[in-house]
Amino acid sequence: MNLKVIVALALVVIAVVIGVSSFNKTVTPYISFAEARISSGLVQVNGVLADKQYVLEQEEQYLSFRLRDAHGEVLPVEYRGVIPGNFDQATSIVAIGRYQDGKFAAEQLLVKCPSKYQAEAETAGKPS
Amino acid sequence: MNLGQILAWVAFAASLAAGLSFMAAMGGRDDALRPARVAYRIQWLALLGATAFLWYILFTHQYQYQYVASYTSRAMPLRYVYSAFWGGQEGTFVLWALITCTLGLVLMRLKHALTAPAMFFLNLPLVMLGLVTVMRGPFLTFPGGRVPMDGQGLNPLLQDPWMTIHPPVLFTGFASLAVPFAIAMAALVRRDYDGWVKVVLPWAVLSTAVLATGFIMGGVWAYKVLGWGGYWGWDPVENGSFIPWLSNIALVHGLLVQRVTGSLRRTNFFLAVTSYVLVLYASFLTRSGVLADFSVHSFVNLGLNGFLLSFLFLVVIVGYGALILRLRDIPGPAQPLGNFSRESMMWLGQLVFMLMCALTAVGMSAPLITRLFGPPSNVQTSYYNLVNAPLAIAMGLLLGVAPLMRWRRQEARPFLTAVLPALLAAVGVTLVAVALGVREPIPMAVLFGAGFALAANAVVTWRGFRAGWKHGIAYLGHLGAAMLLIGIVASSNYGRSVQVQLPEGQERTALGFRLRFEGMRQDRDGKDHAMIAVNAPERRFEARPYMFWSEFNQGYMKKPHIERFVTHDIYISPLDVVGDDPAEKGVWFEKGETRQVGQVKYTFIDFDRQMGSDMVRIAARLRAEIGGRTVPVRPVLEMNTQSGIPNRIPDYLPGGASVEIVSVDPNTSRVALRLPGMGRSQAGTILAVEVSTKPFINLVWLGAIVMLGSVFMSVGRRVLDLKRIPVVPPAA
Repeated sequence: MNLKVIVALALVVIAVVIGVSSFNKTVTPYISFAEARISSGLVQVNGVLADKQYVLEQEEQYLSFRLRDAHGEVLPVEYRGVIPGNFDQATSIVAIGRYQDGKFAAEQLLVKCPSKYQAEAETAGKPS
Repeated sequence: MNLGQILAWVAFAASLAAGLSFMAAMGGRDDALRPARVAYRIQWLALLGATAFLWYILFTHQYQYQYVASYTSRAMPLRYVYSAFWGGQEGTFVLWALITCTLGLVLMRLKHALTAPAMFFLNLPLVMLGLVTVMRGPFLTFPGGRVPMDGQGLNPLLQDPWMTIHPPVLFTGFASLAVPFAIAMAALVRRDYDGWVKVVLPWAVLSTAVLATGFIMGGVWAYKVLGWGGYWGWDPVENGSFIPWLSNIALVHGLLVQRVTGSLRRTNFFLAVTSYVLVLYASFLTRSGVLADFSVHSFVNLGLNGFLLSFLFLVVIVGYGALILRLRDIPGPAQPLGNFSRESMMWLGQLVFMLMCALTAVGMSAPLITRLFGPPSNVQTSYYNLVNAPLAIAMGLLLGVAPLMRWRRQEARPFLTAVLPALLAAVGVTLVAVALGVREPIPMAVLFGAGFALAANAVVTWRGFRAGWKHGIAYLGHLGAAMLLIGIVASSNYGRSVQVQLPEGQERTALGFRLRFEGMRQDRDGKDHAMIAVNAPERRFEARPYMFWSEFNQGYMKKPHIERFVTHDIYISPLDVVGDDPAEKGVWFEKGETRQVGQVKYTFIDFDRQMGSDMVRIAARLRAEIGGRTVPVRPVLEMNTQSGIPNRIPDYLPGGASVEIVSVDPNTSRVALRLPGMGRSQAGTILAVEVSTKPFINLVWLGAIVMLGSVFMSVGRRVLDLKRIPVVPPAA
């Protein structure tokens, strides 16, 4: 075995190890609320706003609301940071974070708003 | 059947005819070459005609075509009607076909034994693209002769000067990778395992140059317009242009090694096929809708999954199949790859490129991979930084070592004397970085590697250019890459960033800058921007980040303010406006609908429309009941079809209050009105912004420009080399 083959093998091994560990570290599975309650790592949940009784304090950058999933289950969510615009008109909310102390502490909120563009593009795209 | 569809059918038929004739020519029938060329030129003309026709129906607003109605509207400025050509998938297929076909026209002029078989393989994707244009092209009309009054318009995100040029450049890059693929296939068919290198080199370098131009433009656009806060977001579409580029640049380096030493023959065939396979794989991922939930800018699913997959499988089977069939026939290296030599370092460099490519591809395929084990999920963008940073260290070191080495065999002692000054410079760069606050080991190591590459290549570039420009350009490109690497590490890891809420009229401090939000203003295009007086230690300036409501997206469009300095940028990105009542966007009325707003009861009766040559004038006939009295109200909206600038002419109620049209929706005959008593609530407006610094961002742009300049010069150099090929009679 010569030098360059050893270096090459080392590179491949390092890349695979780093690749696998980084993948496991950063993959955020979409999981159900029940699973979110027992998981420890960073996860992703999605649902809709359960009711309009949310607490939004813009100056404090604090938001707390209840998320309801497709099965009708409800999860309280807390979020600190810049509140996405049209938050209460969202058709779906994705929260990335971890479950702790009886609440889902979101680090990131992705809000999907009713988009005229997508809906009409889809209907226009289908020949009949 | 309209002209567009006829042209699409002609192009498709011609591609079949050209394919069959080139196949005959490849089989040794020289007399098939003439009809093949004729059919190919007919195909090109038909595609050119289809392109012209698509632009024609877009510019003349022929809304009976679904594509025109989906991506343009009367109000759109003309320069964006032009870019609506590639606003939807159907149009991009036409563009892709036209560019591939045009490149083939250039390839066809080369008098070489490989030309005819290469043309056959280049024509394969054209058959596939021709088929999809015939089946699902942009020339479908609405069923039943329906013609909408107005179109949907193009997503405002795409209505940007960069979008008029960025997509065609990227598509040229994607399309151009078909040429190295085709030449490689031709070489496998003809068993010409070395002769193809010289022919393919200019094309491979051209792809490197054009693809890099494409994503550097995308980076500028993301930084200046989208306000991502960075120039690169590891979005699937960006990754989709990045992975074929990595594979292609590995191919370029392999071809150079093969030309000098006659080794890496099989590797180069593999890389030529892989680069094109990755183009198709990335197109499949971003266009099929499998990533729709995970990407900011994937296309809508058009039900083309089957087509895209068969396109991909065709190229995989033909490409790798031919390589496997010939694998034993390809002779081993003419000279073994040295142990300690320039080519062995370049081989390691190829490996690093391909590892980056593989790990990035795994990341962008995460939703597909995880689907095998459970619900599909994505990786966070930090994945890409985690996996690529260690490889960037290796890249920097190899970038510095390789140019200092000789081909074939390098003696240890002269190498050490050459490498020592560069190592000292790298230590210097690292010490400066530590003094500026770099503490983490990985960024430090990347900076060390990049500093080493910078110093080593500065020396060899200087030496190279003194010996003649041809000897210096490759090193100059590496010099640019090293600068780019330093700029990326500095600007993405060591910027400071803070989110701050700015109540109107009050001063707040962020990162040591004093900011005062002075309210929202409207520019001539009717777009709102914030006015923020910034008092920074370097200079005082007025920041104008844009933030305007888009009816189309039902959301805010944002554009950051960037204040440039030599060593850094101050980046002010709007996040949200609070206390901005959505009601001011207007109250929507259906035809015949009555609503009470404030003290007044309004009924919307109907529109009066007037169409001028360059002006559309829409008046809304309303009845207002105020204090027991009924009065007619008739506000007018004039729209200049050339500029798309609306002119609102309000009408007045008896009390003097004004009624104004905000917008109209001609498809549903609805009108949005701004009515008295719902004016903008000025008090209590709070603007949330993110203030950040981007240190050494200019090094990113400078490195990118140097790198691109050198790659384009290399294209010229390789074309000049081509002129020195001994002329071989065609299809010998």
